[in-house]
Amino acid sequence: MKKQDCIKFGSVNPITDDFKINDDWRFERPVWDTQKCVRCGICYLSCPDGAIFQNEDGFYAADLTYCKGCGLCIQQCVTGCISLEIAVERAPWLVK
Amino acid sequence: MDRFSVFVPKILPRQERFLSGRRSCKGCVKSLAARLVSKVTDSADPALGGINGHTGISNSALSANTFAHDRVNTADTLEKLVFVIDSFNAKSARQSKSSHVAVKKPVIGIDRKVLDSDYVVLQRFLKNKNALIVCFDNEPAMDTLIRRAIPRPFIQNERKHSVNEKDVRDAVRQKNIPAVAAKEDFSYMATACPSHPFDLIEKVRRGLDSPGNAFILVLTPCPTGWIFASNKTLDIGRRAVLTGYFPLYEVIDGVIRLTIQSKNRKPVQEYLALQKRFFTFPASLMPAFQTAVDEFYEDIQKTGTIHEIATKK
Repeated sequence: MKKQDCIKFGSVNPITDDFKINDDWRFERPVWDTQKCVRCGICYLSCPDGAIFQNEDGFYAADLTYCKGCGLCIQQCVTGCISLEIAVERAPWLVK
Repeated sequence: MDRFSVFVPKILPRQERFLSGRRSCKGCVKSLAARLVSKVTDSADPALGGINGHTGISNSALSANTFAHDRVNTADTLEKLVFVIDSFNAKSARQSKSSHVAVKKPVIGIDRKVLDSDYVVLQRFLKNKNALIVCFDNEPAMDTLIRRAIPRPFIQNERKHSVNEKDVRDAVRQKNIPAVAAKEDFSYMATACPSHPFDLIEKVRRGLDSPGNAFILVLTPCPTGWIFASNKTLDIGRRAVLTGYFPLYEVIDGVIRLTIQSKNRKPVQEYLALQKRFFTFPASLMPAFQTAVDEFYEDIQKTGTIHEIATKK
């Protein structure tokens, strides 16, 4: 559920409640290898921020606005199809 | 989105009621538990065609453990929360609109620290209301124990009571059976951990279906407080269950039943060694955890009722 929906329902006060865009929390981003992915949805289940969604193709992807880069999806993945890719625009010094 | 029918999405509701972008740490299991609970309570919401009026209500500001339903209410204390539910029900009695359905069984997410401090208010609340209480436990009592075990300088050391094996035994026992669960008569009581998500979801469903008050204690490993890597939160939860440190059980009519039985339990040291918060804890007291856990696990397997285990000395 996104902030706009909550404001629409009236459950969230847009002035007093602040919501973080977690884009600046991480230097890496999770990437799915569609060759290995079996679309089981374990990553979707184990995301603490609800930042993983399903594409129209049926494969999963991370909403990078809210992903904090905790790496739980990578640890829980059954096939090992998720990996962390360095976000070059955030941390160019990590690129060798 | 027709392909949203593979394994996990087939079991859980499609719609995401959890509010992203909140002030929780990286890999916070507390928010993961709140998300899983909100998925179950969402399907039972009257606005979506359920039977009973369940609403997710949390007693803190929008932080890690709030449910963020469409009708979420937040309150700082439990007293305020009682007022919020009463006023909501009064409002629904006045207005006969579909958007104002009375809260028959509120789902309340509270922190373990609040549970221990506001015990009297909670007792009064449980007498009048019919609610499901989900308690998120990130072991505040164990942190106190660790802090007490740090040796103090000079005379202070003699004055203060240092930690011994009995304290460790009591900490393990009180952690698994909170005082509220031992004294109050819940129609359904259970322990759960997000490392076993389907077990947690099933227990929340049973709690909602139970006729009276229900209580679920959820272990939520905290990467910041317990000091470990953020991607190991669910791994630590799994170890806590498999070592027997936090056995998953459910109590129906006072009788305990283990939902996940581990025949070859691993040593508790495997669970404790991952957490760096124990680095000040005296190494001589570490075996006391194993004996305490063994004793508690045997009690659960042998004795039938929760009151007998809670009162055992």
